[in-house]
Amino acid sequence: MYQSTLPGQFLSISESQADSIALQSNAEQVSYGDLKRRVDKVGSYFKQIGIEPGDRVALVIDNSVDYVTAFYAIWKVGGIVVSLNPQAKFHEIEKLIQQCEAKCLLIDKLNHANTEQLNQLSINMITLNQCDINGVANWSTALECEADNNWYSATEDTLAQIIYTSGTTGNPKGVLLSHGNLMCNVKDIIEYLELTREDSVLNVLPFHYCYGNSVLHTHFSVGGKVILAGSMAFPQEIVNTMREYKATGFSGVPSTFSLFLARSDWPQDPPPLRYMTQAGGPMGKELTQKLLQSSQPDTKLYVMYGQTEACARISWLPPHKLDEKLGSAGISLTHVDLEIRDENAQALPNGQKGEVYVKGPSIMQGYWNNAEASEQVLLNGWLKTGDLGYLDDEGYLYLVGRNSDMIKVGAHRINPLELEEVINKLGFVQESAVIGIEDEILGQKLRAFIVGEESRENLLALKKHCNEYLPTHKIPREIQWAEQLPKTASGKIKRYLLKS
Amino acid sequence: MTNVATNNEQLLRDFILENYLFTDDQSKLNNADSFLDTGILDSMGILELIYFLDEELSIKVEPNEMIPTNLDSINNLLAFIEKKQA
Repeated sequence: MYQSTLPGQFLSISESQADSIALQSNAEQVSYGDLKRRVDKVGSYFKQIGIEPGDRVALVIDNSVDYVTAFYAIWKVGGIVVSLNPQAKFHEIEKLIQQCEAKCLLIDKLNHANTEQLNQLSINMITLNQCDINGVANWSTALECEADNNWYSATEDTLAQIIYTSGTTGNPKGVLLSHGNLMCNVKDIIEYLELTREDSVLNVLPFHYCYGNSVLHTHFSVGGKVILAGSMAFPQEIVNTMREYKATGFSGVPSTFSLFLARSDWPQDPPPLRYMTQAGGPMGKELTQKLLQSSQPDTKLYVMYGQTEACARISWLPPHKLDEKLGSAGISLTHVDLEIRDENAQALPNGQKGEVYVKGPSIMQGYWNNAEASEQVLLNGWLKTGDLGYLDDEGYLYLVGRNSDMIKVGAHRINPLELEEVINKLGFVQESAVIGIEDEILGQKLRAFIVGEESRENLLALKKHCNEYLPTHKIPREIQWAEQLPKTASGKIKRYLLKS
Repeated sequence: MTNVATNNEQLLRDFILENYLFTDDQSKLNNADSFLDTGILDSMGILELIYFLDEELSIKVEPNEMIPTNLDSINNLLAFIEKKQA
């Protein structure tokens, strides 16, 4: 029996399973009871510094016990969690903090900014590092605060979280999710993954993206264990950790599985998992088959499809249908209605290609402070996903592309317009275009076409500039100089020509 | 330090400085800096580093050698290369 919200569910589990391990981070194990005690303290601290229900609190910290503690502490006081990418540059973080009007910022790397920049933010700041900057509190102060047991009574309508996505235009958009949105999606996922308290998932996905977010909350909602693992830079270590801590599940994007097969002993000695989940972009048929052949025979692979605006998951492919429906994104979740529509938003019959529309209790409330963008994608309760596809006769979804130019690099969804805006600020750049080109491991990698004077100095200046304003995963790996860019009569860049 | 080791060090430093720190200012990279902790490289960067080791130094990194102790700083790389070339 589930509570109606995730914080309610957490309270229930932390009472009924106080001694069960909630989080494993290297050798550190934190039980649900222990985590609840930490959350209570930090929540009390948030109250002391004036965080009230509905206030936004930004988390700019890596996956960790502290991240999860802060996350639930924000919910304890009725706040809205805004998780931001810790790899982002300071100016990007600053922009998003201003966009969501955050009242407090929790940050773990002060090298994001200098003292002056941090002070300019004029909001409550807490850092995980020891720091002597005036006005910035230390995390230890929050962890030592006297705890109370008063939790804000969130309902399904209470706003819970803002997750920023790259969006289809230049500026990131804050997807606003309610507790009802999250709980509904979590319950549907638990149902098809058949999760129980016996499950322990090894997680490498960043919690600030919706996929990692849903991995955390689905496993917490059944009282399972989340094992926090390091970077995918060292795949063999991840596989070793799976074995050491006897993980029953693993969630990844196509590049993660590709790395395991190419750069670890997974194929020779597959870990004894009960389930693997794959989302974050389509995984090629060849890789899917190779993964299945290289895994334990009783390990189930769940191919899934979703979008942040739909809370995370939209559809899943039952593992027993994987061979028969290879290449399909599966059937919609229990509480998700799915239709394929034409450009006039009219439903199309099975077999015909169109845009994927979805509806249900897990669809977002809208984009934070951006009514115009919300209206463009939310139509009479339906979410216009921007993804193109068709349904077969049995209702299985097949995706065939996107309406937008979004690029998927590993786990990251990247909007080329955002990168072009940054590149075009350079004086010697007349214009630019960024596209995704095929990459064996990452799915896609970034190539930038630059119209401007070609020289080694300019190339170095361009790379420096990108490094200053963009996180590593958004820096184009390939630069190509061009005399001009192919365009339509209305001046829009013909990206498909650049790809050929 | 032997000439070979010195050459390797310079080769690696230049590769990191030029491709990830976008500078030729040698003071920007400390040989003990962890690539991942300092954000110089991410998982993509580590892969590119492995391709670089293969192409430039003919060093094949086996899956079980893909660990921070071998790859996560200039010093670690130099020790790893020395071991592989021994």
